[in-house]
Amino acid sequence: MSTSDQWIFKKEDLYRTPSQTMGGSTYSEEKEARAKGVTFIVSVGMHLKLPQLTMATAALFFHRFYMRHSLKDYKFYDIGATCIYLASKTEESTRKFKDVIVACAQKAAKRDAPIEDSSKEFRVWKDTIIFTEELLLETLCFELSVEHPYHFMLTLFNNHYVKESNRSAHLRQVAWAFINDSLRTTLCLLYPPRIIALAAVHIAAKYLDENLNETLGDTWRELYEPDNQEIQDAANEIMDQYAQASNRNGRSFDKIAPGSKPGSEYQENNTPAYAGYLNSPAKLATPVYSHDASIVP
Amino acid sequence: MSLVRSHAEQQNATVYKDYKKDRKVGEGAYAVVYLGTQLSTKRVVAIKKIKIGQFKDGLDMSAIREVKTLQELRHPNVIELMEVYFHKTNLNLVLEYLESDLEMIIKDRSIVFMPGDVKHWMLMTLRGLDHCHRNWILHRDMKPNNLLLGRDGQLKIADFGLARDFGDRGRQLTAQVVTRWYRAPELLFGAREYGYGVDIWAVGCIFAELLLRNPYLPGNSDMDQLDTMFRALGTPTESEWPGMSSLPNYMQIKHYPRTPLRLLFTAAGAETLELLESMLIYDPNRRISAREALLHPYFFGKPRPTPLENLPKHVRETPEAAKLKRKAHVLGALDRMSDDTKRTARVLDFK
Repeated sequence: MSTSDQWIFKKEDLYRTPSQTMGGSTYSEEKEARAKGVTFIVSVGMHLKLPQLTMATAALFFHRFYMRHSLKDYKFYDIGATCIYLASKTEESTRKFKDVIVACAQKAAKRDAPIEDSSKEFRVWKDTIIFTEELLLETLCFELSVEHPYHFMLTLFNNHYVKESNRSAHLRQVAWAFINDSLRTTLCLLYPPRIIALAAVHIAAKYLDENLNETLGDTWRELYEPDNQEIQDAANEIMDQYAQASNRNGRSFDKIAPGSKPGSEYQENNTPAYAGYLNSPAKLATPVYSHDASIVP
Repeated sequence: MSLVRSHAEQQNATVYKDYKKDRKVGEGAYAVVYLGTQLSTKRVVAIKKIKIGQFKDGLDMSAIREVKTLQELRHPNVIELMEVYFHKTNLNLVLEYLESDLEMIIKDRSIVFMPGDVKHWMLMTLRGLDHCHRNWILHRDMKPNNLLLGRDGQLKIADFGLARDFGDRGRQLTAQVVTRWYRAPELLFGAREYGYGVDIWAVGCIFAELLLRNPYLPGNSDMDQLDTMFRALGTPTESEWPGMSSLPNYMQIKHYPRTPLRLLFTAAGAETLELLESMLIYDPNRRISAREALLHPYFFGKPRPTPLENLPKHVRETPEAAKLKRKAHVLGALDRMSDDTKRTARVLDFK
């Protein structure tokens, strides 16, 4: 069976997706639908208290699915829900099927009251997820084992960032938040996890005025220089979404205080994710992703 | 791009057409296994058909685990997952076909095991298991029945329906794993955080079974399993296994003294017993790892592991011919053995 090479695309492929060639969407419409779909995945995931890694896997499944199917044929809510359900199984963080259905129905309709298991709506969601799961697996070519930038980034910090200090924890959290935010974009279809991780660390360092050549020394140069161009491209891609958001809000990224960006829409109670990670000692002490121990080879 | 769109479905259809199910060879809890043929290559394969329809919660977790772990693991001593496809509402896993397993060989009383045979089987088992563990995957169902043997003698670990990742501190795992006779003491006491030790304990039991030609710790119930275990290996004390009494289902069991392994395994050499003993250490933190076990002197001493082609095989077609061939090998091995003895004698002969 093939490796994940088949899932890395060229930039121009994103202008020739099934949604655009057959579904009649424009590039920006598709981009928006993808972002909405992942926002839906993340909000259901937070509601079900799923680990960040599970949400990232669901988002990756979601983006891959729409490289082979059109948004016109498959509603992003249906696919998003199925991606969550499948990812919760592949990442060993299963939730009761019933709870997944109720959370999806609730978040898709943007309401507070949960639906009844006897309702027609419940049955429709259930049948949809079961039916779609098979199609999703087939579309993914059964590639259930996926890698994320988080792994690579944590290994980098664990192995090379010499002194574990507040500053390194800070840098890690910011880079982490940038990776979280990139889930909504098609970045994972363009670059391998390693490049995305390096790009996120690169931007985070710029954001915090940290000189990586000082703190990571030769390690950073060795990692950065061979792929300089690719990392730069990926970094620009990450920044694009903020630029667009700022344009809409009439603000520019530089002027936004840390804490108001990025990732505000990720939090349930409207506290921006970024601010949460930076300011709350509790969050700093318990990273969302508690996988550190097992990542170091 | 329309080509790409239907790519996955087309691929699925092509894959499906390439395989033919010949006959049913087994039925498990959640799947039926068929002997099949890959039409394009005439290769004999095993097709594991998982019924999806019967699970009201979508695709079963065992199927997901099996597909996911086998994709991550590629090793000569781990079964190969060749393809996956849907047909009707069934998920089909195409696996390489191996005709027998270690359980069949152990039960086949017409076969005599030489120490070198056991050594090679253990070597292959541990190599495969070490590969799993290095990829942070626990098998959680190691038993002779899941160690398949190919025509060429190669041993492969199969059935990853219970396998999952480990090494994540603080993550709770279920203690309801591993077939009872091979279940580690920490699992019997209900441990929710455990590691490679559970697989190693099971391998220790398999090792003992290969030496005895009978299951080593055949308990009748979960309770009886602990009793059987402690009767054979002695009841552990808190100093021998720190933390034992704080396990969720810990209970005090009658005190049995520890009897030295050599009293039961009379024919086994010192290194054999030493390795066996280090796999059957009660404290999972002190139990040997697959990697360490592979470096154990047992694997470097005499006799050498029997070459693959000479390993005993369970042959259905012509038992007579197999017996003859085997007899020749056993005689040969005995010959070689006495050669070794002679050589040692010569070295020791100072005149």
